[in-house]
Amino acid sequence: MIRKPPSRVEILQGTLDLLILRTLLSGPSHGHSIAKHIQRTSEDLLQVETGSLYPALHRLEAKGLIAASWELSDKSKRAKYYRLTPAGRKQLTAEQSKWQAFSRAMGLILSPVDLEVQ
Amino acid sequence: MITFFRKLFWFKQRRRKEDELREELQFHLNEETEQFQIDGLSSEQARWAAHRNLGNITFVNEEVREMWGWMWLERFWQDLRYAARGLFKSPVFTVISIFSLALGIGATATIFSVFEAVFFNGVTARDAERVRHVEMGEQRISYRQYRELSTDMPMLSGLAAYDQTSLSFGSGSSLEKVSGEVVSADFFNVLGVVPALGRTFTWSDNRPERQPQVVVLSHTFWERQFNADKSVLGSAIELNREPFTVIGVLSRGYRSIHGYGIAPEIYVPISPHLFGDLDNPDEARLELIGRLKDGVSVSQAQASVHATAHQLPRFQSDKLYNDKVQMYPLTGIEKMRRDGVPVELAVFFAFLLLAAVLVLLIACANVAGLLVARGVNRSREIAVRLALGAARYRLVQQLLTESLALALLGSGAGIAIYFWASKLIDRIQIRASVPLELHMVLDAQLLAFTVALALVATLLSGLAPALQTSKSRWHLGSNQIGAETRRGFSIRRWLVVGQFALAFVLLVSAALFLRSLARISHVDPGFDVNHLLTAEVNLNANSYPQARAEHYFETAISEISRLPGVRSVSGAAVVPLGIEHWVISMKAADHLIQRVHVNSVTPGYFQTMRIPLLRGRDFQASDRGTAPPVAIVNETFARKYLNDNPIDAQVSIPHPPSSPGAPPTWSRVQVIGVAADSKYGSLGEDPTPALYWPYSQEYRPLVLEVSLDTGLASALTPVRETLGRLDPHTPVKLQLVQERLAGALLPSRIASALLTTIGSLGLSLAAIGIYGIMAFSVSRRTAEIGMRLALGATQRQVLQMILRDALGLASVGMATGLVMALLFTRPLAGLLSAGMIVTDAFSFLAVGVVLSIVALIAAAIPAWRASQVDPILALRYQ
Repeated sequence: MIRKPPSRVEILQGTLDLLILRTLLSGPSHGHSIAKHIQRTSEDLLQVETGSLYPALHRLEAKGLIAASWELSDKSKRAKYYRLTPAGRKQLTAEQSKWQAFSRAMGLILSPVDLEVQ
Repeated sequence: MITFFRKLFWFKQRRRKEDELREELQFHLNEETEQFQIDGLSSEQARWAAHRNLGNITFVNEEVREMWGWMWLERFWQDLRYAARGLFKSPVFTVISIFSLALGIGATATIFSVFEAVFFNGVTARDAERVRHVEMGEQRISYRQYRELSTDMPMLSGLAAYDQTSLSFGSGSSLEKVSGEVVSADFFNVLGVVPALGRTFTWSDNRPERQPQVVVLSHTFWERQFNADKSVLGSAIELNREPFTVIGVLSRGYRSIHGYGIAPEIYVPISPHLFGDLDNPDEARLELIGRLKDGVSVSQAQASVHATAHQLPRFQSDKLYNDKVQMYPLTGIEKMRRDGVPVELAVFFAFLLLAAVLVLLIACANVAGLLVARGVNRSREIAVRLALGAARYRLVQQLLTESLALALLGSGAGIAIYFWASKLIDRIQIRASVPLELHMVLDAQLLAFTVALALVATLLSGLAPALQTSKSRWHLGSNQIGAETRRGFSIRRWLVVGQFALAFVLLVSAALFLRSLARISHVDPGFDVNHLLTAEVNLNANSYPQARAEHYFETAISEISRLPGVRSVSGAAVVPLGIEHWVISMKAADHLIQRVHVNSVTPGYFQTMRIPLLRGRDFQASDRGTAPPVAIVNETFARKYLNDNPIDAQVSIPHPPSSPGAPPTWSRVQVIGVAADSKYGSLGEDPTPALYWPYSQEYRPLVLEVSLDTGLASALTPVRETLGRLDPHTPVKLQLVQERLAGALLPSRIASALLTTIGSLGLSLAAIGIYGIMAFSVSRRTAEIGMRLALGATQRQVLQMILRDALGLASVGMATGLVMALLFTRPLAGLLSAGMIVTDAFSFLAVGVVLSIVALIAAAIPAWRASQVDPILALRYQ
């Protein structure tokens, strides 16, 4: 039997979840604005593919970390808005500190090399 | 966890969720488009750019759906519906497959259930694991001991006693012996049994002075004797010529304490009428069951009973009580071991089960072959789907679902067959020496077993075809009729070969058994079977001490011999070929002989039984207890141990020692005659030594043998009446020796019936298998056949070609089966009668011939069709 090719969502799964949660910290938004926000705030370095974004959103919803409701957008169109739940807030804090610890560790290892290169 | 429940909740609203997802994505698309338009692109370009950014919408949809996690369910449902449509479209295939599977699964489930019912099914009791048999030092106990034990049992919530008994039921000339159980008052309470009608016993029923006494009937007895009339409660019946009031009827399907389908017909409380002197410590006949209190372990209870018993004076003075209290379960392997269930019986049943599994395998092979054939016919469809991008695993999944659907339908039909068969078996009440009933229960175990069978059947039938069908080597042309030529051995052919191999093993085993049984039934038992009837009398040991019993028998013999038509009457302690065997070891000329069948007989026994007395003389009245001890031996004994010089030879009989641990004492007995050999234990036994004592020197309660000149059946009533006149209280059981023998052969007859059925099933399935494969093969080869015919082959030659092909397949199968049979029938050697070996050439040959003929017949129709192929049509079709 052929194995399915790994879905594109799985690759960035952990980090994408973190990005989404952080974005929602500032307030509820719909999928499109979440993607735009991530793109803008990362100075265009991170472009989220729709194929990854929506499965991630629905997965977070299934886990209970975000909640969804249908609202009217600023242009008076119907859109699905997501917001953080208390559980999501807790998760965000946990993930954020994990990420910070991770990037600090990376930095510690990478920085001495930089000094030598200099 | 939360995730799971949320997804479950979403599942119910999945349509709404799909619509929402579509809307959400559409919104996203629109926003992107607007964004691009704001950036300056035209509306067309903006839309394209947005789409490009979005990626494959379908893919996104699928990803999310996949994440939701219920896709597999929808796919499964889709596959099922597709499979159902496919099955409907080819009804012949469907019917044959379901039929094959149903037979296999039904047969296996039924036999498994019978096996369970005979050996493992519990006694009808509430919380049966809390009830145990209580054994006091491997002895039965007396009523007084039972009462003393039951006064102090802190660990048991109840202790009950019981014993089997037989009573005469009815009055006047319609006296009938019924098999019953005499029980203590709380017997049914300890078991926790609720009757279907009326009530069971209470302690007030147990008082000896109570008249009339009470009785509880079994359901079958009530149906048989009273036509299930509910007003029987409160009416009186006569047992041993005493009135008993019916107070209750047990429920249908009640399984007695004995297990193995033994079903006593009536239950009476212990009383002096039936039980002699209740105080007599020598009347040790009772077995015990006890219910453990909640939270008490078996070892605790055992220790407690042991402690109680130790305090009681009667147990202490009892020399034979050897200090052990054992509690063992009501059913299961331990009980079987203690009951001495012969291993052969269990082996035989295991063999039957194996045979049923073989049939199931053949059925699965059938279905597999049919599925493969069908798969070939669908190769175009498969090829197209593969070309369009279907994943191979999806195709395999779908094909497996098809065989799962078949397996489910097959098991449903199989369970229906099981129900029908068990209803049939339920109705059978075997009247052996004790009445037997088999109550089969569809319990969770059996259901789980059947489901497991169905799944295994699915995998076996469907996996190979599914894998093969999905191989990518199918090209679009292979759907055409006639696209194949003979390609040697493919999986279909192997399946047929396998079927024939299994069928061969099955049939050979059945043939070995059947021949063995046939031999047994034709063995000459050595005594007269056709003009003999036996009369068993149960003399109450209390009212009949030895002297009075001897007088009774002498009178009975002389009275009966005066009846018209009676040729001769005598008595014997043991009836040959009966259930009881009397076997001892003894010495002759200082050889120790391990197994000698012995019997204690009255003068004239040999004449009555028509066993020729070859040398010496018969016993006479002068061979009394005071006269020198004498004996008569049989031919085998004389030949083997007395050097053919038996008369006046001396043999030594051991007697049990007076105190334990001392050696046995030997007494010498003089041989005064030699009788012809006959069969003693079973019809299939080898010639075995035997010895007879005169009844007056070795007293035992006798069974009367009555030899008649004429009118066998009409002698029953006069004999019964004569004995009734002698003592109206004693139950009498009369039986024609013919019937008795037939009863002894009954298990063998049942076994051979079962084997024949299973063998025929296997054979039919194999025949269907080979028909299917030949028909299919012919349909694929029409082009080749047409070519042959066009090139000059005669129709006859084509016919022969196909038949040879079929025979070839069958032969390979049978050769494999031959090897397997030689290997696997070894364990059966113990079950076959003497003179029958597991490599009986006749059986093997006969089975080979039968299978070959069946193969030819099954292949005949396809072969005939092949010969009728019109070459022009066949070639044009291509």
